[in-house]
Amino acid sequence: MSIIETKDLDLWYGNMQALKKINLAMDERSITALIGPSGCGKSTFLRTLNRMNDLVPGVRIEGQVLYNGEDIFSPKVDVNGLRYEVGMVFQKPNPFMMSIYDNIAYGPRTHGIRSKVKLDEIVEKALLDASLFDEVKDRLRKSALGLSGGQQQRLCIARALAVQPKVLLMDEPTSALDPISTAKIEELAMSLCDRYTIIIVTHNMQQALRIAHKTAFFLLGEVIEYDDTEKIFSNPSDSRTEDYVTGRFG
Amino acid sequence: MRTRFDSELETLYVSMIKMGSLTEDTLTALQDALSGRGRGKLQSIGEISREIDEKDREIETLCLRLLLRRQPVAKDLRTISSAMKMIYDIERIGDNAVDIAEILPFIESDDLTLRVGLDRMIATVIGMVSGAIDAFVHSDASKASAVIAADDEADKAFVEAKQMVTQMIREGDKDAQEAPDLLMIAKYLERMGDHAASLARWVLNSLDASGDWINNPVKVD
Repeated sequence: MSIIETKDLDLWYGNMQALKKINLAMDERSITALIGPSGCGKSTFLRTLNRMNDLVPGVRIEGQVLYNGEDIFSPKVDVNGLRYEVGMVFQKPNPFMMSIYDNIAYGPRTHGIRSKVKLDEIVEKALLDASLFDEVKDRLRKSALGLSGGQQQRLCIARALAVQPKVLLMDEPTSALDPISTAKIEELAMSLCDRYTIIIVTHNMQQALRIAHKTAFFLLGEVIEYDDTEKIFSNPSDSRTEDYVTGRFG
Repeated sequence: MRTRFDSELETLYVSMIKMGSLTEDTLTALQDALSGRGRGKLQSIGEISREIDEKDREIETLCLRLLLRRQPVAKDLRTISSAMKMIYDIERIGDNAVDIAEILPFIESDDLTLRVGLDRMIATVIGMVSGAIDAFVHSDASKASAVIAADDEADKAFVEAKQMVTQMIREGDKDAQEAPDLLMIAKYLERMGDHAASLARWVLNSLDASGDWINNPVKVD
């Protein structure tokens, strides 16, 4: 069953059309990879799914993004509520300049949770889910900026998980990380996908092959092909997909 | 953008063609002998077979290196993985040619091979092997399918050869003591046909006529 579905989604930055009639349905509790050359619209598409593009001046969006069947652009949708449910992890780890604990407790606190016992519980669970607890349990009150890049990225994932999202959007979450940290994030994504829906933008084909159930290939603002990852990388239907995944262009 | 990889794949193609052409050489030598045109070239089969084995190892190494270093996907992956399967079949065809070349000297009269129809069998097999190699070189799915279809012809010829041999034994033919050797040659030729059909299936696999390459590769007998 799809949790997010776009219908004829168009997006313009001023006069430049960045997304053209995107029709994609993302399965619940699975990993979907978005691939394509730089500037193809995949990150724009990702940011549209929790309305982060609303903040960009001159942006115009047509078509629909349905989250659990409801149009996220409908006036009755609470954008903050949407972003709790559809969380985001960025390319560069961006922990807040505060302690590890406070980074994770930040979201729940803005939700109005004040009980220390409850917050402790949420922080521990989020860190456990993000496979970070054992590494930081003795320094929860220390600054998050003292963590390594890979740990910071997992902290950002823990921070996103702390508000109990349904969907995690990841925009090249490992492109700034070393191979070991990358492997940890990939393992984490695979272990989370039985409870969360993950949509990940990646430039790393092997990463898409390793972790994604389905892969969408974007080119010049369009989805050229969307299918099972193994199909995309073994026997794509479109010659442009074939040319891209085999490194003939892009 | 990927000139080097393309040139490595070109090397793979050229080596496959060379290996296929060596196999055709062994089959032509066999055809001369089985059709009563002379057994002079039989000695060369062992030497050519050793060259085929060398090519087999060379191509296998190249494929493993390409898998390791290029991490191929899509058509590249299908080509390289199919090539690894195809060299097995080509190498087996070469081995079968050696087996036949070892038995043939024990059959004194060319008449016998003609009587059992081995000349027609080798002609069918040569057509299949050449067809499969052509199909690979020219990425020709219809040619590959024709090779697979021709396997029935080879199987039928084997059944006929077996009947002829049985008849020789039953009737107490003066050459009946050569019947087992004739039957073995017929069986090796039939196996060559199977390997040629298998080659053709791997060509189809690399071109992907199956539609679902990973879960439903073209079945190989």
